[in-house]
Amino acid sequence: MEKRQGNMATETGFPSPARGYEATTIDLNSLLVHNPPATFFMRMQGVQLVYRGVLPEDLLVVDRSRPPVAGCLVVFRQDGEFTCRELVRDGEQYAFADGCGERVAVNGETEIFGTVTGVVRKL
Amino acid sequence: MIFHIDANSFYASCERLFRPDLAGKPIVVLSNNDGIVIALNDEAKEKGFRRGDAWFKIAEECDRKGISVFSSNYTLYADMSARLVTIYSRLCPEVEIYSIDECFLYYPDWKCPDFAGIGTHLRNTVLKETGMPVSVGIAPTRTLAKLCNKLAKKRGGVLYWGDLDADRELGNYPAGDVWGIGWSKETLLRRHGIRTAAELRKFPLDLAKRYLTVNGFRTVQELNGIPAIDRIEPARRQNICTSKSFGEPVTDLASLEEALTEYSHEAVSRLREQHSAARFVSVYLMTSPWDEAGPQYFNQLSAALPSPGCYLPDILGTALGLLRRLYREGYRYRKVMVNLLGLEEDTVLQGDLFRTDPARPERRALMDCFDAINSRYGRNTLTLGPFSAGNRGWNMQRRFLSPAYTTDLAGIPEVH
Repeated sequence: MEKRQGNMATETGFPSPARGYEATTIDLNSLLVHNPPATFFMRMQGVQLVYRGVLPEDLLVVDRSRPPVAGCLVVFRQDGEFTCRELVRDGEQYAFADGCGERVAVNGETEIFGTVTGVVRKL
Repeated sequence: MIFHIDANSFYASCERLFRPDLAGKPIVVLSNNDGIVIALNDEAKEKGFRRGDAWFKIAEECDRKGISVFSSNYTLYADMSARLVTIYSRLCPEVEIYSIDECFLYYPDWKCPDFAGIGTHLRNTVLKETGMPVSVGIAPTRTLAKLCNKLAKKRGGVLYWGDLDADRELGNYPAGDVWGIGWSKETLLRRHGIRTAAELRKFPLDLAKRYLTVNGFRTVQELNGIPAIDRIEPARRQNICTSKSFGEPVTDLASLEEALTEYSHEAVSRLREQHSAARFVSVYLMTSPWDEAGPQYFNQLSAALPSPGCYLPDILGTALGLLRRLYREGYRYRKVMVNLLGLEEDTVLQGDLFRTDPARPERRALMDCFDAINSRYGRNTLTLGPFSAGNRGWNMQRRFLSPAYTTDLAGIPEVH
């Protein structure tokens, strides 16, 4: 005799026709997180990426396994802080650009933390 | 072939990862209650600090030398550890968790394999995806794999036993540093004229058994390349992990729940056997990396128990809740695994309490403890239900605790 957890209501009468078709709830993780062990969440503080639709207080989904390419938003370490900018091509080189025309050249010391793969905002 | 993977200065690496201002700076991590130094990075070692230093003795010196000090943040470490294991499981058919920062990986003995290449791939993948530096030792036995790993730390991070000059390496390796040879055995060996691992390897097996017990006998065999240690049973394990691969791929949640229930029972019974309490429960769910019939899925979730415990309903309930959040339809699952972490001694419970009905005496012991604490420290020191939510970490001193960067929205790193 198999006994399940006590909180299961006993079913009487006819079984529900929807049985086996119950929908699961929508899970935003399956939309936003592609590689769980490599995914970290961070909080945007600055206004420099407003032109890319990223507002202060937005939650950034950062995937370290996604290779950064030009046009991506990336989080990198700079002056002891995490900074998020757009990775752009500058002729032969890469640079980090914000929306205000400021550019920081990528050099050998630059350490990219990860690529932003999603932005979450609560209204 | 056995791979031993070990995260370098694991706790310090976890702390450093989310503090870009600490790159290249010395870091020490303190034990529960900020008692002693339990982990430190190379930079802190260069400043003269050691594991085991008492905090009250070095506090002033740390301040003067600009050392960054952290209380142990097991929420963070358990999550990072689980991320590493998830990646290992994606890349290797058989993973055994040895401690929060060490795993053994088993690969088949293919013909003409590039084991060093696999090791490098493992190391690079983990570094890229999690930012954690790991080193890899590869050998036919666990003892040699551990030894290789120790050597690897100074030589680029990956070392395969087959690429080494065995006599020379063992000749330079102190016998006392061999896995399983402690300080007392080292002294004993010295009396037999054995100082290096090379000499230990040639120690006659009958003498090894007589002087070093069966464990030392196995160590000698392992140094000779004969696998002799199949299950690792340290006196008190640092984590308890139970899992089994399914014979057939499993697709439905109900079967996974049944399997997880069984493993949780086993894990908790082992937990209680050694009179420990667990602080964290991790659940892993994965498909097979060798299954080409369907899409792949590897994931884990961890949860902190409100307090360290060995009470089965709590741990099982937590584990099942995690599994339900992990489960996605449409995958052919190969394995579900439960890991109990952050183990500590459960001093309240006595062994003989468990010989009778397991639930009642334990609850009694729990209530005894509950009442004793409340009468000693005042009412509401311990409470039940949501009331206690804001009261976590009630008796622990953690003055230098970092945020739960990876598991709590309030603790996630800021970006500018």
